[in-house]
Amino acid sequence: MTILLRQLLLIIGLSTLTLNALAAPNMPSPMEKRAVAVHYTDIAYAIYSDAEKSAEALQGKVDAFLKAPDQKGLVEAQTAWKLARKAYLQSEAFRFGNPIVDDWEGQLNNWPLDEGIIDYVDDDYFYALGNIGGDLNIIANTTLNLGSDTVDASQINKELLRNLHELGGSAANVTTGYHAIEFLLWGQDLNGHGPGAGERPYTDYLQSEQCSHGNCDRRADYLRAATAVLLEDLQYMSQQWAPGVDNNYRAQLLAMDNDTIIARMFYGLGSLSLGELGGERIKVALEANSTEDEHDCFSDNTHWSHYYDGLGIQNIYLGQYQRLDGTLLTGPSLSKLVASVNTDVDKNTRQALDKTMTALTVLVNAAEAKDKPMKFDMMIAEGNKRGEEILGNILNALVDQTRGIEQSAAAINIDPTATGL
Amino acid sequence: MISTAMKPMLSARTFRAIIIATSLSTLAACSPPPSSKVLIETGNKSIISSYQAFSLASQKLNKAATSYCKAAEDNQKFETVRSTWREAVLGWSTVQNIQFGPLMVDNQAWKIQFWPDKKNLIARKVEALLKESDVITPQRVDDASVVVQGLSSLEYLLFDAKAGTLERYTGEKGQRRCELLVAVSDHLNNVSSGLYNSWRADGGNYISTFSKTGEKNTEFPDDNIAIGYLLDTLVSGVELIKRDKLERPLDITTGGNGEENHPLQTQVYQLEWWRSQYSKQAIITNLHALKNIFNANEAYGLDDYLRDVKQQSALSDKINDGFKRCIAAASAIEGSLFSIANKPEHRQPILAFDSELANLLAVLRNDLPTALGVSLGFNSKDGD
Repeated sequence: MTILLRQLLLIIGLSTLTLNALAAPNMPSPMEKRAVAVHYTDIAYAIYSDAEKSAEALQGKVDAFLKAPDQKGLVEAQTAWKLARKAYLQSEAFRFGNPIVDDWEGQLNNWPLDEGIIDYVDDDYFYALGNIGGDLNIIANTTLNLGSDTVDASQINKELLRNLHELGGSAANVTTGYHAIEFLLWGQDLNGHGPGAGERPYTDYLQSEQCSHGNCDRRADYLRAATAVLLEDLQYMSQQWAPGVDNNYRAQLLAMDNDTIIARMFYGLGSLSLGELGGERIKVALEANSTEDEHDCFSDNTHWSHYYDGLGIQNIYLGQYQRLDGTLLTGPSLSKLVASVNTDVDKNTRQALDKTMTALTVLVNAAEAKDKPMKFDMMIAEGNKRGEEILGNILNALVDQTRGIEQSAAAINIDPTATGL
Repeated sequence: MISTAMKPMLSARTFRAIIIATSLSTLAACSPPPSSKVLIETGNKSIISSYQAFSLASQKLNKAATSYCKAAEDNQKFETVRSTWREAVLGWSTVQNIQFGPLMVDNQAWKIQFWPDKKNLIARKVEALLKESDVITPQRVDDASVVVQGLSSLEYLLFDAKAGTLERYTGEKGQRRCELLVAVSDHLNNVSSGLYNSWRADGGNYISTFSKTGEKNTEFPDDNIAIGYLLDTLVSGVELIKRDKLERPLDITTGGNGEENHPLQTQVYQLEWWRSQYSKQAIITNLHALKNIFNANEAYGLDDYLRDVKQQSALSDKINDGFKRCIAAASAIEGSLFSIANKPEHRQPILAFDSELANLLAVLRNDLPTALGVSLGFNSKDGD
């Protein structure tokens, strides 16, 4: 968006450097830094492996549902989708600092999408101005007309979906990834700022005359193919972080000097905190009162996505990750590096991260309340003071936490923008 | 310019020179140190006067809209509203990139501009508001989504091919559209005068917060922090022009080296001010404004500070030269970016401009922080 809420890193002035030299707090040793960097790649491997496993589980549920579509099967697939988001969202703390993740993540998590490219939509549907793919409806059309070009879509398979993703260079043309699958499982949320998520009937997948909205065979093909693409993509990424693989990203990253790796770690944390989670995912939707800018708009699962983004940031700083099977991965952390130089700065940052998690917990509790739950799309309605307060608190906490992250980096003489990118 | 004068005299090491130098340094002790002077003069001579101009332009736009809506069939008055809107956009373009102060409080910038509008929300929300039956007042506009506020909403009301025409303001329905036009311009006038007043010494006096640093000043505990914000303003301003205003909408991925071997996939509706086809003028004004901040509008600015205090006159000149080259390259582009976006014969000047921006950005991002002894921080545009 138009505002650049840039928080400033103070230090590195000559006087500070001199002071540091005089006060001589021992900077972390190369060995200590290396240990933090290696643990970072271990966490990445664990998170992407968990994301992969949970996508496999999703595929199992999707296959079972498509074999004999009923309401129970649909709900189970939806539940599996929500579980599959848990590790993935935490992995987003690896974005921004690691080009391999950013070059790849669009095919998994692009949003907001012009869902009319995939399937039927309501009459009130709008798509991005000038988007040639905004109402293509791949499921309903075996030949896709793109002005001067036509695309043979008689077979809906992985290749077709990969080829059509970001058609015409528009990020709204999302044909693969979590949100495409989300749309296929939930359908459009036509409740605006009111209660309720998408209500796609399971009959959309019935392979009989009872098929609703037509093309149930192609819709099933689409769901199957999109799930397979997701799984393939996650397999690829977890291999990139696997130990002992020649020349994968992990190996390339660990071949860099310690300070560059640590700068990348910090850069990812700061960018996800302020620009992406705070800016794109909360502030735009809140200020514009726009359900179109809700992250998980079909399923109303946005609160959990935000929560796990926040947790992912905290994980990296603390060097920990709780795996989906419950085991806790811990090890050398940025926090310990910073604390070895300046305990106050480390404490402030940890407190700021805690404050964000508290604010995100309030969001989750409000959205999951048994009595009158308030989902994200209700919170961003014009005049919803409580919603505005809940989200405003998260935004403030994210700004403070970004400042903390900057100060932590400065405390160990790391310039988070010196990522070599 | 005291310190510029002082240096050669000290190096001369004559008795007379030392006397003069001593008296000058006494003088310097009474007047603020160079870093404070940069803040005072950049704030007063550049930033405040830009806010003032933006506020005046918004006021003029509000008056023009009010006058037009008394006789909504008057084409000449409609054109006046449009031209005052353009002036207000240029006013906004001089302060748009500032990264600190009142503009950051309570999302003032978003009240002025909503861009990019990926889902055509402006059209949808404005038309939805027009269909309501509530009375349209500036307060109603203030309570509404930022999407219906500010220059973006006004651009839709004044320039949209369907909604922004004279015909839409006539008849019964047209009256309500005019009420909205007046209310939004009134609201904008309040926002922009609020910003100007917040900065003024006889208003909110943010100029004092910005220029009187010290331990008690929680926002700016020392001059370097405030200078860091100026640096941020320059860097993120040029970044915004290069990436968001030019490369993303026009599908520039070559880094400006001119070799493009894929079919163009422009996103022209992501250009800033595409409805009025005014994006190039806004960019040029941005560049002038950033240069103006760097030079404190010819008073004692970062340029002088680099030269006198940091012994970096070459860098200072290089930055000024970079701004000049960017402005010249942007001015050399013929036609509006919206109209030439997909015309191969117009591609070269666009790529040449992009390349100049890349050069300037490299100097601002790599050389300037080191020279000033401050470093860059995170930015809310770091998302995607």
